[in-house]
Amino acid sequence: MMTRRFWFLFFLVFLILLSLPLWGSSFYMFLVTEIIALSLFAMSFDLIYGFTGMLSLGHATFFGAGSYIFTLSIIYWQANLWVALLLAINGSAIIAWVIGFFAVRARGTNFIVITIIFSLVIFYLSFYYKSITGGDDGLPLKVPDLVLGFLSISIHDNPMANYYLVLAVVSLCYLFYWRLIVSPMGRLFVAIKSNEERTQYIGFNTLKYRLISFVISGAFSGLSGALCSMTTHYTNNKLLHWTTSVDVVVWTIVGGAGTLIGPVMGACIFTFFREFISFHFKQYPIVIGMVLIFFIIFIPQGILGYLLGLIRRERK
Amino acid sequence: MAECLLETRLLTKRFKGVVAVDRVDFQLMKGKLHAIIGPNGAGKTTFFNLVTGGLSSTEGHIFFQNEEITHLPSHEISKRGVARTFQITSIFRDLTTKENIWIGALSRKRFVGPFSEASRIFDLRSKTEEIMVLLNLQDKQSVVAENLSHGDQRLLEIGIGLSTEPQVLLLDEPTAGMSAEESTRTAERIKKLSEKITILIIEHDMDVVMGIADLITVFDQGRVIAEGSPTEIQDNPTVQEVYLGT
Repeated sequence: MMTRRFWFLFFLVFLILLSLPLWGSSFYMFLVTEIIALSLFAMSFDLIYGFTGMLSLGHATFFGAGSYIFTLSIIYWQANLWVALLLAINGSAIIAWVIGFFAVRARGTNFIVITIIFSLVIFYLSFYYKSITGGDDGLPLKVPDLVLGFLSISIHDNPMANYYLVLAVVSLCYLFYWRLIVSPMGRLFVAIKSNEERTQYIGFNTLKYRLISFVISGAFSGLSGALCSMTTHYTNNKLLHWTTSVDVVVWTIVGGAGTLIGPVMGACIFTFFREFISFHFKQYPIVIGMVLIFFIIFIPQGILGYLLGLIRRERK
Repeated sequence: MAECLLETRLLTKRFKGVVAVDRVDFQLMKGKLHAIIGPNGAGKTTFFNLVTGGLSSTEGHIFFQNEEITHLPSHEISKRGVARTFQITSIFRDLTTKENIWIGALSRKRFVGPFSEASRIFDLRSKTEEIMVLLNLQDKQSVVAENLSHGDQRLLEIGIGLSTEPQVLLLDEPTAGMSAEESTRTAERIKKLSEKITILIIEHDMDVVMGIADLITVFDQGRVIAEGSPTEIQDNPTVQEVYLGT
């Protein structure tokens, strides 16, 4: 009964998303495209925080790196769209591997501090090399056409094509994550979160698996950054800023860490919020802070975690 | 001649001036149920931590099946077949009983895949099933571990150890915090387990050890002060002095 209701809901949401360009205004389509791209960032963060138990406060680094690699490879090398996206994934994965190599050796507060320091260094480097990165002015981008065999589809001037491309890529990534968390490796991530010492004593090199989790998360965060730039035709170093790192933490905690979909809900709520409230109310970060404090104290399991708890109790 | 599974030579651990384990020569023979006893602070748990790789020794050597394992990390030592439990229960509190044991069994797989569905790996499933039946935990397989009774949590901890298919099982005070009745039942279970597997047990409760151990080693202030059968230990005057307090 439960699973049937779940699938019903799942297909309903998917149908709404599929048909959105037919009835939504161009403004909504743009906003939803952005939210879908950001969802991938949220899920990727949830993998390391909600599943593996590592709180990174420097995830903007991978998001921003993906966006920059995508943009720069198009500007300087005239890269094909697929190549640019692949470069963004692989480039962010390599950066995540280097940072993760040091970070996973630390735990708790030390881990947080290491991720913050790396992300600050990279943020300030982006100012230093302003001639390349454009600094806070950013870089405009002409997105290359999508080539599918004989077909060549314009993404730059066709928001609908862009929308479907983002939706397809993120859906595939969702399937990947969904599979990952029920796989042996995913179960192992949860075990490490639950009791890392015990996991070592039963024969797992936990550093290796924490690094794998970190790199997967970094790679897809980078892809998310690339998809955002593809949508906005623009990148700037605000994407690398620590506030971007905090955003994804807020989405995940409010939405429900360790649920994959919860953080997506969080991304959705806060992006809408930003779009409609910040226009009229300049101090909106204060509201976000208050919402976060409220959730940490009263609903630490997040919105989706809370709902799932209700359903479980009802079934008993 | 019995085979020596685990051996330490002049094993020493110093913490800032305190010698926790002091030149310990120790041998664990295959198939035995060997107990380590001693007063608080005698260095029993430190000895366990050294042998399982949780701590690195200051001096001395550790051998397992005639291979040196000194300074290896704990996951490597586990891979060679040494499993342990902890004095303070260390389980996966937010996983179910079944998942706790399943994760241990997974550690013997060469490859931990990111795609296959975990619940469909049949050999792991039957292995998990087998251990739950052995420890009489099969009725509680879907209970989240933190909701188990203290006694069941202690059992589950042994189950996690067993699931890694070890050659030796090191038990650190398995009856800690149990009622007298539970202790007796656990001791019987351990005795039964020792028919299949070599066990090294740290125990505080003298009665538990005297009843089941083949061999007893007594630690005091980091050193081995006596070794022998339960009756020999009971009659040993040095042991009576430091441990039994008579």
